[in-house]
Amino acid sequence: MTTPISVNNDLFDINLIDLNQQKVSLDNYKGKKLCIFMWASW
Amino acid sequence: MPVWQKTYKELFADDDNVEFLSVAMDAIYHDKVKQFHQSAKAEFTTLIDTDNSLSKLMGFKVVPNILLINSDGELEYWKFGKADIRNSYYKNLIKRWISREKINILPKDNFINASNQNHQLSLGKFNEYVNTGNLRVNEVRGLELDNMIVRKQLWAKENPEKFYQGNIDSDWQKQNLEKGI
Repeated sequence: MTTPISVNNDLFDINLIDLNQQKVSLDNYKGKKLCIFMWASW
Repeated sequence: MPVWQKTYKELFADDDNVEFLSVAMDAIYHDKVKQFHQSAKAEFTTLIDTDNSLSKLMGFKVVPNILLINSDGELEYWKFGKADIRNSYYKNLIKRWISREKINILPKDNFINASNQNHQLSLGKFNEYVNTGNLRVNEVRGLELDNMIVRKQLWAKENPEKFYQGNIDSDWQKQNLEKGI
C-alpha cells in the first residue's frame, strides 16, 4: 500500500518561475491531482 | 522532453481532473530550459526551480524525478533519479494513478530526507555562489559530493560547452566523477 505523505503546506508554499521569468506559486495547482516531472537542461 | 509531450497528449491533455507540470532544476541557464521546451513543441507548463526549493524540501540529489500528488495535497508516489518515462513501468504506473486505481507501491529506495545538514548547507552555498559569485567553487562542491543537482550545475557553469554545444559529454562527466571534481 502506498502511504501518502502530506506535503501540503511546504510544497504548495514554493514559488517557481515560468519561462517568461514570472513568479508562479505551486499553490495554484492545489486541489487537483498533480503529476510533476523534474528534469534539467544540464 | 519530446517523449513527455507525447505522454502528455496521451494521458493528460484531455483530463480536467489531473494536471501535469514539468519543473526544470536549473538555477543558472534559464534560457536553455526555454529552448528545450520550445524545441519539443511542449504544450504543457514548464516551470523553473531557480533556487533548488524542491530539493531543499525533499532531499533529492538527482533528476529526472516523478512526483504524484493527490487532490488532498498528499504525495502518493515519488521516484528520485532514473524516472524515465520511456520505461513502460512509469508510464503504466501514471496511467493507473490517473484512472484512480491504487498504485500499491511504497517507494523504498529513496525516502524523502531533507533533514541532512550538509544537504541544506550545500544548496544554500550553491545559491549564494550563483547569486553573488563570492564563494570558491570547491567550497560549494565539497559539502555534499553526491549532490548531482549542485555538482552538475557547477560543471555546466564552468564548462558550458560540455553541455550546450551538441550532445552532453558523458565521458567528460565520468572523468570528473572519477577525479572527484
